[in-house]
Amino acid sequence: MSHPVSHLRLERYHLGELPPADRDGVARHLETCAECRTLLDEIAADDRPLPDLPLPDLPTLEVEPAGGARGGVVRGPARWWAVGGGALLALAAGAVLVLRAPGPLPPGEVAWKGGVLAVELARERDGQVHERPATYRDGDRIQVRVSCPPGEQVGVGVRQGDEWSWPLPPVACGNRVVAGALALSGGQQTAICAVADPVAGTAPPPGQAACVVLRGE
Amino acid sequence: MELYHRYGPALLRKCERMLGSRADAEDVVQALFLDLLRKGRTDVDLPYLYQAATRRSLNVIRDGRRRAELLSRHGDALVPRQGAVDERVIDAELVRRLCASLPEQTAEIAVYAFLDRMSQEEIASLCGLSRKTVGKRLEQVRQAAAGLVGGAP
Ligand SMILES: [Zn+2]
Repeated sequence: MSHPVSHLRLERYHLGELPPADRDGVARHLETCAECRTLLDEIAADDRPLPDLPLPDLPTLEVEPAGGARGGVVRGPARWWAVGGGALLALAAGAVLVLRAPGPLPPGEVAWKGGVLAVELARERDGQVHERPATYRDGDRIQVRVSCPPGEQVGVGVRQGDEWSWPLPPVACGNRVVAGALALSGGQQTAICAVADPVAGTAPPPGQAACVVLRGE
Repeated sequence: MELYHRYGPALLRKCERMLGSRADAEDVVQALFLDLLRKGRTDVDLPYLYQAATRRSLNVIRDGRRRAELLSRHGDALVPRQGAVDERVIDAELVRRLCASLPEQTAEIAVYAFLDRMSQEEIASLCGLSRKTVGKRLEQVRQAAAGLVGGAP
């Protein structure tokens, strides 16, 4: 049954998120309504722990040590490809290999669509998170966050040597949006990039990618 | 995830009210935030999340495999009645029973009105409906409730 103050408004009042006029109305109501005061007290007193949020099943990218004729080799497969079985894995691993984009790496931040396109990494190792790492070693988990103008969409490209791969699905833009996480190994220098208007199978043109470079330890 | 820490507790309370189980509420809220993470959504507020959590909880209630368990969680404590239904008897359990059979949008409105204590205006604004439409849907809910309460042993 409805009541002058719903649970949602009480929750927002508790969080300090009601617009001023509405907040004042709720405050006045609370002065005379014991039922709502009790509910608000219960909200404030609810200290039951928030269960851990398991990390989503994120794609994994593994990099073999350099040494072959091609230098680094991107080995798929991302875990979200794994459901399809071996044939799909092979296809996926092949599909992410793109090629030959010599030249300097783009900078870590570029102007794009009236805003900024930027990428930022966090490294998780033995349960410890290190923001903006410069290096990685086998077994590290690298979280990729991108920033770009809302309403746009960007890709996440990984460059090793002259090869680009696209291990994560495209991301809807926002401020420091988590694009996913990668597992790197092999010690090869790797650039992880937010890429504007990505075209599968082609390296991004200059000015269309913001990259951070990780060196192997 | 900042959003999870800010809004998680409110959503857990809300879903627990709907589902009658903290464990089920945790499942719904975790799934909701994992989905947001995957989509990279950070531009959401509590009303949006409330609505998303409501729909997900309704899916749990309407999931045939789980319905029997949910409905029996508090036993069948309804007292048979005749005629018009007193809104005070439209409690969580009755709403769960109604939601299993009402059309989706009507079920959602029933939850807002009878479990979340929202006014018709607040429901209309949250759902982007006219107040008149909300009123009509609530009338359907009352009729369905009267049928359920009046007919079931
Ligand atoms: Zn009150």
